[in-house]
Amino acid sequence: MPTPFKQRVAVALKDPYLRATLARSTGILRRDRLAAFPTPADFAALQAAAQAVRRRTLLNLPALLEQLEAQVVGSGGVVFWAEDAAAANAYIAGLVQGSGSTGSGEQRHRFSRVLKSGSVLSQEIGLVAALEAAGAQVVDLQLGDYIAQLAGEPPSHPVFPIIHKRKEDVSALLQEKLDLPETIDVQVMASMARFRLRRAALSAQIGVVEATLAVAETGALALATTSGHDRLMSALPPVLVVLMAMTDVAPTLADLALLTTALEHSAAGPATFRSLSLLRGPARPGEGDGPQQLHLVIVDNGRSELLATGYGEALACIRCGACLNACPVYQTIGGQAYGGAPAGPIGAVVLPLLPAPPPASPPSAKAAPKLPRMARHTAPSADLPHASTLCGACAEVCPVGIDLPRLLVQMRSDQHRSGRAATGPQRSLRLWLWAAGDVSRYRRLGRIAAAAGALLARPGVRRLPLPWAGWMTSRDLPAPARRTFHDRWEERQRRG
Amino acid sequence: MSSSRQAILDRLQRSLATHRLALPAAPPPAPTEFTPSSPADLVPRLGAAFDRLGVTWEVAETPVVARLKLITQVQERGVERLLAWAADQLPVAGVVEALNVFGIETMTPVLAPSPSRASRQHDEQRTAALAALEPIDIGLTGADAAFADTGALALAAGAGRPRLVSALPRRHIVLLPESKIVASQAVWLATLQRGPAYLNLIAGPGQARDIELTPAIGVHGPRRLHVVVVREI
Repeated sequence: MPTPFKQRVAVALKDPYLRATLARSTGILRRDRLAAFPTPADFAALQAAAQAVRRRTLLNLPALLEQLEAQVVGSGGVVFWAEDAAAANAYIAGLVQGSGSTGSGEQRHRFSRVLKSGSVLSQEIGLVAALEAAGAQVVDLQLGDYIAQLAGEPPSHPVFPIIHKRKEDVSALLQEKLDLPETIDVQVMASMARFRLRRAALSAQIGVVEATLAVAETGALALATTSGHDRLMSALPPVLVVLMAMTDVAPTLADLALLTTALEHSAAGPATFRSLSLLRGPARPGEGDGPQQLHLVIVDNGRSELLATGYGEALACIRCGACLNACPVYQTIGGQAYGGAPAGPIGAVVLPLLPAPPPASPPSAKAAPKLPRMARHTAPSADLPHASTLCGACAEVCPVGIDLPRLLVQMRSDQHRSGRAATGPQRSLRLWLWAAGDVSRYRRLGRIAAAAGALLARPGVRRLPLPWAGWMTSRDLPAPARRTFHDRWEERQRRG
Repeated sequence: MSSSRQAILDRLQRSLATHRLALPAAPPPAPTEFTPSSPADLVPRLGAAFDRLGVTWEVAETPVVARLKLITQVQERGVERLLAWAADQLPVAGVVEALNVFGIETMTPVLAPSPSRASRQHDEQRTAALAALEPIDIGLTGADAAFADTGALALAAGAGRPRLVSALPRRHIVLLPESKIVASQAVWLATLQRGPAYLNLIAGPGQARDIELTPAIGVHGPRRLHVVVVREI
């Protein structure tokens, strides 16, 4: 059972280095992003164009998906439509076990080594646990994801998965897990990891990658990476599975060019992505390498329903991470406290609305029961819409113009209407309303509150009496003024 | 499978009938090509983009000079064997023969296709064959386009053009005919027809910024990318 959000926050706040590391790293990313947009008008122009493409895509999604399917099948690929996480995982686990064909004992050996790249969608559907339950050994090829995997932690950012870690932590981890010599030289650590990752890549029997976008017009599946591992993925595994959230379609190659520019400029400035692979089906006859089979898995997992709600625009997200880098809450608690991917403001909207990953089970087991509509406002992610100061920094930087603060307020309001909002604040507000209805009552209560506050807001007091017991679990109690404003005002008046 | 497909598409249609998404603004303008003052302008622009990306480059006026520059590059590394596109796929004729004269072998890898029935023996042979290619230090390719605005190179895979050649070695050398340089990556992409099974746009050596956002070069692909621009083919 996942831990509640407030507990995860408490753990994050106790980390002595987390905030300093995140402040530094997100500061670098904000600076690099600004370098891509010399004037606000430069950003506004790109944002308007990218937003228009994403809206047009969402509104024409059925036709675009059918066009994409026809193109991928026409170029020799296989398309699987996954209604939910369990269906996607079972299909890929089936490929891993070779159960798609004869399913003999020899087949079982065949696809046991899985090379994976991308962590947002696979985290959403719980892919790694499902594949491991099916007997596969999964290695993340992307350096950050690989380090997170070694640490046994989920990634904390869609583009830079271990942005929360110090190089000292990474060094200690590599020494412990891979028996590597002590160093804090990043290039040396990366070179050491290269050796390990190469070994995994050369012996991989199946590759699973997350598409950055898929182009409906041509069937090209696009993988954009900073370190160029998309090239190894496209060359080495004999079977390649491309996972794609059903909304991640670019209608044309021109739209792809626009969206990848918006994505990389917002993530960390120009030339963030050093390599872009466009895959159209498996390798053609006569090619010396490349996948012999190519499978596209289109994942719905609640998205088709989400489009009907008032939250559809959140699906325009292209996972650049700009809203995370801009968010004061993310910078304080880090990505892991959100309990899923993506983290940050976009995660605070999307995570409560999409189903949680199913518990790992062998693929033969019955699929997890489908969550009822809007079941989604449930723990452990129900508190996420409240993890925002509504400062609006996220909406300012979103390259596809998602109005995140409005969506967060809408979610809070929905929770209130469905009776799922916390009752404590409402009771306190009702008390205040009653007190404010009468001047003398208000003054008397003010004096009582000041006296009680002076008693309680002292070092050592960690918990308030009921019904305010929950207050100090995630907040401090500021000491109130010893005397109320009204008392001081009256005294001034008397003194003249 | 087909029932899932229909269920998803039906649900989408229902959702879109009641969606609350704001309608899109006017469609975005088509990408516009910047007009270089003259075609000769393209090489310095591309060179500047290469410099920003950490790509080393030089210009060869003729194929003869290109071959010599290539041999110098390879000999400086003390390499005797390199991975390369097949001779008929390289844009400069006689490259393979010239390298051979200097005692340098080229190799165009072809992996044995996996049999329909899985076999442990095949897997092991495949891994061993790849492991034998891995230490080869240099990969030599041509390019189908280079973009003066982004500095990226476009490489299409195909027969005689294995994907591994630009992915596996530590150093990637590209022979680029000047005629393949175009002004804008976005415009070129937008006008691309369906294209090959695999197209790779390479914008400098790969850069992993995973650890404290400090760039680490060549975690997966080549650490060095060197381009020889050939003026007359």
